[in-house]
Amino acid sequence: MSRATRHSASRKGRRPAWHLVAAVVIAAGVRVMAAEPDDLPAPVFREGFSYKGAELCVRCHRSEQSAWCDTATSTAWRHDAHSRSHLALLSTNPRTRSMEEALGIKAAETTSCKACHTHPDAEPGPEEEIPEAENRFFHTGISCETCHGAGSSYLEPHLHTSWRFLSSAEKASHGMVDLRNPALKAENCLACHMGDAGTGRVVPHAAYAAGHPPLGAFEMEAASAALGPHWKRVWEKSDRIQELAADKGYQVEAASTAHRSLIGALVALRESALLVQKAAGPATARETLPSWPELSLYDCQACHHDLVLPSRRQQAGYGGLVPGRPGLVRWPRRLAEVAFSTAEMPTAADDILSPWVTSLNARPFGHRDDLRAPPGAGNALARVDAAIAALATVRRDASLPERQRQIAETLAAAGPRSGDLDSARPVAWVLAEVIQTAPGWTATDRAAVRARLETALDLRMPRPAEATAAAIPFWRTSLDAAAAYDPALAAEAFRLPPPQTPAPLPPR
Amino acid sequence: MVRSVPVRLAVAAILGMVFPGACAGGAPGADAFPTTIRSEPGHCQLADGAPGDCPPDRCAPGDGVAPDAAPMPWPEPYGGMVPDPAGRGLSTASCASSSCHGGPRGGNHASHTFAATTWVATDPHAGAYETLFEPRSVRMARLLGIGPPHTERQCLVCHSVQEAAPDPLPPAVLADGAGCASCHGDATGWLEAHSQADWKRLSAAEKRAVGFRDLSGPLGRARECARCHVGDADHDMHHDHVAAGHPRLLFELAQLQRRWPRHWDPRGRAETEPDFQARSWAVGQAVALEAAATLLAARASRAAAAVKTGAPTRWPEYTEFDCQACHRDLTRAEALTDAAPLPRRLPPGTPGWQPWFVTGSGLLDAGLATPSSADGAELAGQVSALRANLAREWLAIDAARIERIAAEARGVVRGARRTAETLAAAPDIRVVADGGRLDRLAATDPRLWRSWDAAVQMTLALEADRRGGPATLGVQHPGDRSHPLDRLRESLLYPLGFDAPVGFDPERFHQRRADVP
Repeated sequence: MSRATRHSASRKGRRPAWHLVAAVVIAAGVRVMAAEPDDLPAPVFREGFSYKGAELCVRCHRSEQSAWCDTATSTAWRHDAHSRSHLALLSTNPRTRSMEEALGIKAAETTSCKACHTHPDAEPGPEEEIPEAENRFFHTGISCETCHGAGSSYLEPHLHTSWRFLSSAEKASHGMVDLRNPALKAENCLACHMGDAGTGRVVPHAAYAAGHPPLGAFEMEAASAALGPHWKRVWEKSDRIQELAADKGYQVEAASTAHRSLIGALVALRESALLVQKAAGPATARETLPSWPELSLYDCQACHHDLVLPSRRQQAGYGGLVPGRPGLVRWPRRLAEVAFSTAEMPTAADDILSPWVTSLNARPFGHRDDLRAPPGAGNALARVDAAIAALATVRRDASLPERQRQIAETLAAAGPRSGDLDSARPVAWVLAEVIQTAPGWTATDRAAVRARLETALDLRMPRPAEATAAAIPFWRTSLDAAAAYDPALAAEAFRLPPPQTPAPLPPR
Repeated sequence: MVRSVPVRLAVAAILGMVFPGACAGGAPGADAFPTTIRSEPGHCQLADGAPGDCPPDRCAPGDGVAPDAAPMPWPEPYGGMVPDPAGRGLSTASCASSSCHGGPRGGNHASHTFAATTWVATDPHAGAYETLFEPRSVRMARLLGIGPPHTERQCLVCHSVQEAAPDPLPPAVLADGAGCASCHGDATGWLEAHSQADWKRLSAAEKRAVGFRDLSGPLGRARECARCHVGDADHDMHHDHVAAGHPRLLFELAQLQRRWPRHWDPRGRAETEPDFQARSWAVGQAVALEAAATLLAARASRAAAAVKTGAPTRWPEYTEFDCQACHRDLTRAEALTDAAPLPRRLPPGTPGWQPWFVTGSGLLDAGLATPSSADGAELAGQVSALRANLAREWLAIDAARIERIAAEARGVVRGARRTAETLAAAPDIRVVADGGRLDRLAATDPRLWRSWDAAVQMTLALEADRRGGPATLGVQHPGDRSHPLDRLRESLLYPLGFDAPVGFDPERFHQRRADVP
């Protein structure tokens, strides 16, 4: 956990209105970036805590327990693709074998592979020793502690009823990552799904070239929904618990799934810049990254696109970047702009990213010394944090339906300007979700919008069974869709039907 | 005009292949010279001289380009009849008077009396400057954040005769594009001598001494062409330009000469030598490699100096590498199966240096041209080492390591120059592009030799072999298109709507190649 977070709250805090707690805690959960390179946040994991093993977790989180822990967590987890992540490291997998041959490595023994495919303390032995028994998934794959934090310090205290009323920061002091906090969850997911040079979780370009599937656009709430959540939101729990939670300031979840997604998009925008900044940084990055620059930290499609005529890229311009230079990862931008608008701080993503882009213009891939602390970066990050805080103050109250309708319309207006599939998909994922509850559209309209978006933008995500069994790997589908991206079709997919109740006619 | 743009660009793409080195912007062809010669919002002048309001379908800037806020100023027409002294030696007008090289075509006139007339009517170089006013060029300038292209030295060095003059030349001098002086040299030192009868009695060396460039044989011609068509330190068409819209540069001398409208009489010149095509191909490949390595060395030295001082730099310069290494859609099977069991010389995810020049000179080294240069093997080794080293070091931002690349490139320059001179001086040159030899070559480094660049180079070598011999008097046009070589050539065209060989299938190419008798 970042130092800022750890020091930001005392254990016995007062209890102001919970939405204010929410704002403070979410904002504090955002890493406060200082200008000095040495002040980069420490890795979320590992620091001072050790892993206890998922067997201990499963003893309690295995079946319907109580009103609080009422999901069959471990059952849900077995169906979650993450639990099989380590199987990708086995040489019996043809793709893994060909990658190993091309790169001259053994995946199960390579730190940068293990960083994401296993939990950090796992030590997969020779492949024949990895048992097939189901419970062994909890030993070597991504398991509870990979995301929730190493359990040595929180295992015992989190058995107590009082635990759930602690703040994110207090839980962090015990090593638990408060994944109900959308900013922290986004950071946690993106560490693998976008990359995090600070903790060595980067798929090197050579690995992609050897056959690693691309990490495309990512939206944590859509991904969670596709995998099947093993939790419940506070607003999904019983009325009694919701009251208790409001009364005691329990957990911070933002007002709705859409608000969580928007906060996640702002984190993704920030991480797209910090990805490169941290790789340019000192100590940790130098140890974990073999070389500078690491191409995989930049926008894949800056280079990897067909040369078509007329060129869409030339028509669209380069957003302050010198033509033909690799830029920062692009996909978070459009949804982040929606988040800024929703927070009533309309901002162009290009403006936020300009401190880093200035350095990328000085030389291809950026000037390493400049990137460690780009002038103006602190200010840009503060604007992101302010928008996150503003979104976090939104309450789940009577105004929520109207807010959701506005979000839907903002998304529908932003989607057609995405420019490429990867930028459009996060917008579409959130729109497909929020349209289901936003007022003003009929059930038929909602289903139609969702179906159009799913078809045009390939929103489908892999189910574990498909991911392992399908003849065509799932990433192939999304790459086909990316190549076939047609702005006109996308614009059509984002078009919302007119609201059901017509606005009153202006007076004559 | 808007609707014709894709067609124009498609033509340009095709010509880029058929006519290596042709700039797509100024490519010849029915569509390449629009009837609208001037295009500004609200006003245009049509080629028939009728100024007036724009017909909306003719003046709207093409390519979906939003017009610049300020319309580009067309330079003031040249006021007087006498060329500006500043451009006297550089001006095409001073060569093209009707009693010198600008006489009427045809009849019994000697062709040198109407060389300029032929040139201005048929040669794409005459349109080089006008290209700078096309929507594509205007957009390039906007994307690059530079001034109007016709005022930018970086554009004018190739698109006009500006390169020879330190100060800006008058528009009327520039307007002739890559004019006489671009290839024949600044005439200041020889303009008068050249108009005397004695001129013909001077030796080539004596002419060179006064600045008249020797274009009599392939070596001199190749070096002149390469300055712009490959590039050098002062003619650096880099990746920023390409990204903003400049076409890729490809160069092969034999093909260029076969397709290029000739403005001189070939009789009694290099063209009538029986080995003209073969020599042009062989010498052209060596000179192209020399020029490419010179450019790399210049870029690397400049980058090393910039890294030392912390100045901005474009290093690594992407135009040094295989375009398709990066610019391919990741969907294509080849991208996802990069780990397929195909032997690789370079580590995964690293682009190869200049496949065009490497395969061109590789064909030379494989003994396609006889006699092969004694230094051939050594040169091939140097090229291979440079390629491997660059793949390892292309991302290095350490001045010493970049400087090592420059030094290695200079080694290739020396080797290529020796090879070019040996080939140019050899008494007789033959190109033998037999299938077995090409097959053996393709097996040495499959990833390199299965590339589109390699396929085009092989096709050009086949043409230099099968269609060799002395040049004909007229301009050679594509034949009846029934020859297997024509079909081979057609299989290499870019698909419509693409500026790259998308979907190129090496297996099919090599099958078709085997069919060429």
